Amino acid sequence: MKHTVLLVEDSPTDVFVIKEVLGGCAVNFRVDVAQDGQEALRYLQDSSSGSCPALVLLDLNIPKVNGLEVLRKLRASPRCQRTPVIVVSSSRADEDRGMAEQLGANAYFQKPADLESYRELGQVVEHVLGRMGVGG
Amino acid sequence: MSVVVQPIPARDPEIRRLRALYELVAALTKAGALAEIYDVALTSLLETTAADRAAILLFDDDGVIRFQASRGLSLEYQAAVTGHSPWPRGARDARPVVVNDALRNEGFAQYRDVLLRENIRGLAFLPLVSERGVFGKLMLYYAEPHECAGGELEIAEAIGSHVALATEHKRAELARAHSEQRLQAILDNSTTLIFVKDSRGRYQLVNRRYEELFHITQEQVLGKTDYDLFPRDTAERLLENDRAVLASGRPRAVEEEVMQDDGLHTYISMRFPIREPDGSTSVCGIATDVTDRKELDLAGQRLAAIVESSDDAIISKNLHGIITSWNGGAQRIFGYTAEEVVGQPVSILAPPDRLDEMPQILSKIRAGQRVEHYETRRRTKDGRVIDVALTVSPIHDSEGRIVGASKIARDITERRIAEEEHAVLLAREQEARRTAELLNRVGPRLLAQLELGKLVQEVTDIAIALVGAEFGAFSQNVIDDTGESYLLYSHSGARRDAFARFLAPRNAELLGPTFRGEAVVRDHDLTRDSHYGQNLLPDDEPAGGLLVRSYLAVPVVTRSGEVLGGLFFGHSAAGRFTENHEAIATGIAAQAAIGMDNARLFEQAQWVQKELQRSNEELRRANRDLEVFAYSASHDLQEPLRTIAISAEIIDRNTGRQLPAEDAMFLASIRSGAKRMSVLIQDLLAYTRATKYEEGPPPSVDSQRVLADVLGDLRVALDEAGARVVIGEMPAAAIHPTRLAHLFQNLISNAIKYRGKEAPRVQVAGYERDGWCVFSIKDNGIGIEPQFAEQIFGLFKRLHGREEYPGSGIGLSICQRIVEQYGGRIWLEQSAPGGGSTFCFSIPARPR
Repeated sequence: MKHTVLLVEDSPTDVFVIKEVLGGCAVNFRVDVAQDGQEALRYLQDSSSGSCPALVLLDLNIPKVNGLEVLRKLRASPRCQRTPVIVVSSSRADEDRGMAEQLGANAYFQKPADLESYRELGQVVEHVLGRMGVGG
Repeated sequence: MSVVVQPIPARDPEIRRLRALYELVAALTKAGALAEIYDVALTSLLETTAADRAAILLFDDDGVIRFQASRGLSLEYQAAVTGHSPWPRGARDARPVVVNDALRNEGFAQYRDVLLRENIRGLAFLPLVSERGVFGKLMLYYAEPHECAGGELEIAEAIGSHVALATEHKRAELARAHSEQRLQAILDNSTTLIFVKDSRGRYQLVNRRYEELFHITQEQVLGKTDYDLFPRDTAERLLENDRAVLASGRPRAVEEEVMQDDGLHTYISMRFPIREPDGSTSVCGIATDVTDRKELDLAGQRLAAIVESSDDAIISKNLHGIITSWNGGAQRIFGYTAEEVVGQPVSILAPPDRLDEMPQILSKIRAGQRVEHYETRRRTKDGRVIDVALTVSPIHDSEGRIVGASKIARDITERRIAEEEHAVLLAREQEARRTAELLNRVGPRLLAQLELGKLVQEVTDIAIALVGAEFGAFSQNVIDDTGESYLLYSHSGARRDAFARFLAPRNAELLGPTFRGEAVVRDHDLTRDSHYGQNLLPDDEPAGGLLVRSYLAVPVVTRSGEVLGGLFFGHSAAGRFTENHEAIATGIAAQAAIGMDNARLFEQAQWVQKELQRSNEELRRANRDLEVFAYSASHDLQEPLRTIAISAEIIDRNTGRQLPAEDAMFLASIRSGAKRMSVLIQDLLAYTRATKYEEGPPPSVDSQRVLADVLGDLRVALDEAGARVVIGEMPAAAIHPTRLAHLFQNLISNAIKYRGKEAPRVQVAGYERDGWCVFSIKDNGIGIEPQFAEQIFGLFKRLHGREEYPGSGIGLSICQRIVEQYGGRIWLEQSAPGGGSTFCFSIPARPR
């Protein structure tokens, strides 16, 4: 069974790299991409898309509705309230990290400037899903 | 004369009476005293009459008849009838009176009891008569009523006339003898020489003084001439004077000099002729020794010279207040000459208001008292009134009687003026001191008031009270858009609005000097002042207008000479502001100027402080903005760089080996450029953060503990480099601990990074001096050449190639910014290539 991952990311380079990282994971993922906050919220609140994704990878600096706002609404909506969220952001700011955790993010991954470092995201994903009992 | 009468036996009363009469005359002739005459008279009366008792009474000087002698009368009786006489004294036609029976005589009713007790019934009164009439009486007393017949009365009368004659004679003789004795006594007790010489120059009389002076007795002198007594030339001179008197027949006063035991004496001799009974002329001389008086005169002349030359007025007056002498000083002081005032009442010197003083002074003098240093006023001839000090003393004559007064008057007008001036000065000084004290009390109150508006009001209130004005204002010199106009800043007292109108621009002439700070204006009555009078009455007078008579205006001028305005005072009454009020107002104006200056400075300082706070706040906000900007800028810059780097890496991984060599090099340049830029951005962010304001003042920090933490963080790097850190003394410093950590971290990292061939050895130590902590970080690394000692702290300055030592060159810049933020300094102490470097920085030792 393929788990669905919602990747909220507007940068094509990052979408490319993250898909590659997820492809390298032990778990098979189907990656749906939302390019802005509005699209992400629509995806998460639209019941026609079936059940909630197994995981949300959320960039903070995204158009229309920013990542933290998306996270807040997600946690506030009854539907995907418990869906694990990993914030993937280039922000080094402690404020962003703290705010994300406070709003209910399960993990925070800072985007690196090289591919090698990026691979660590795979470990974070497996770790979060493992804790949530998702795996296979 | 002596008569011897032989006793004749009494053969009959006639003979007896006759014989008694003879005996009486003989006895009276022999009688040496009046008492003997009386005794003889009474004996004779009792022998020749039938009377059993007799008495003799004479009038005394007061006209009272008194018993002189009596036979057989009690003293009681004598006392009872003394003063009774049938005739008054001096009566011319007195006849004897016989009272047959006194008990039956109405005229003797008052003596009835006395006569009964004395056993007297009959009385006979016989007058004793002289040329001057009755002077006494003889009395005969009878135990039984008696007629006095048979010649008894006649013989008694005859006895009475003899007795009267003898008594008168004896009384005259006694009086003459007494007179001569008295004269001799006078002559003898006189201190003058008295002598009488007859027409031939023979001494007839000299007095005792003469005897004493020439050591000669009267007996030796009498009958002698001057030739017998004195040397010839003296005698000639004396006789010459006598002859002149005899020739002229007139008295003559001459001065004569006679040698005596104690030297030459001068006599003033008065000679006068005396007609003798024999027709010749004697010369009487009365000579007074004036030797002493001549000396006295000399002394008197000296005294007179002193008196005359005295600056004081020395005046004598008699007890009636008549001026008797007047010296030159008196003339100088009072203007009158002696001729003008001697004989005038001294009251001409008294001003009308002092007239009553003079009787008071004279009554004191009469009582023998002195009047000393009595200060009063006198009037001079020309009517000036002068101040004088008087000393008045009684003048006594030689008998000690007060006959007048001497007065010494000193003109103390100048002294009095000086005293008054002194008093005025003293009063002024006291007033000035009071004023100063007043101002000193007011001063601090004014200086403490830093709010300009309140200060000005307080100045006005205090000044009005101290100056005693009705109206007062502090007015500022302000020129507004409409031209010149005076803004009434504060005002006090009554009628504020009216006073404000009074200080309107139309009174520019009056107000000008004050606003220009030129002078104090004080006017007793503006309405009478030709300068201002005409335009001072407000148009609406009397309907609510204000009349200002007394006016005082003081400019308020700062120390720097700036005129701040003026203090104006007014009063509706004239002459209210004195010199002292002016001094007070001036003093208050000075205090007010200082106070206002202070208040303005205070306001300015407050403004500056507020401005500073505001700009500080702005700076803080700008810094925060900058920080936020720098953060977001660096983030926003980082993000595309990261995308470039990742993208370039993917290209390189996917197709790198297929790229032509040149393109591969460019791709590598893209990747390294992005990486370097990323580092720069990160460092820029760090630099920004290093300069951001820390909240709150720096605490005192344990530098050793901070260093230990830093070394803990650097553990891996230190271990890898094989470095050894030696820690010396580490004093506490006033710095935020994160900053100090940054400094240590950066400088120790550098020490390891720029190490030489040997294993790095880092010494960290600190000391405190003059309130500063100086920390040093010494290494044994490659060192820095001296010419680079300054520029190494510049932003992004690097001395080495990137390949040799990585880094953006921002570390020391950050360190410098941190240290400077605390007011400290960072420097390279000593450095030579291969000799290592020592970095030092200073930080305040204690929080400020």
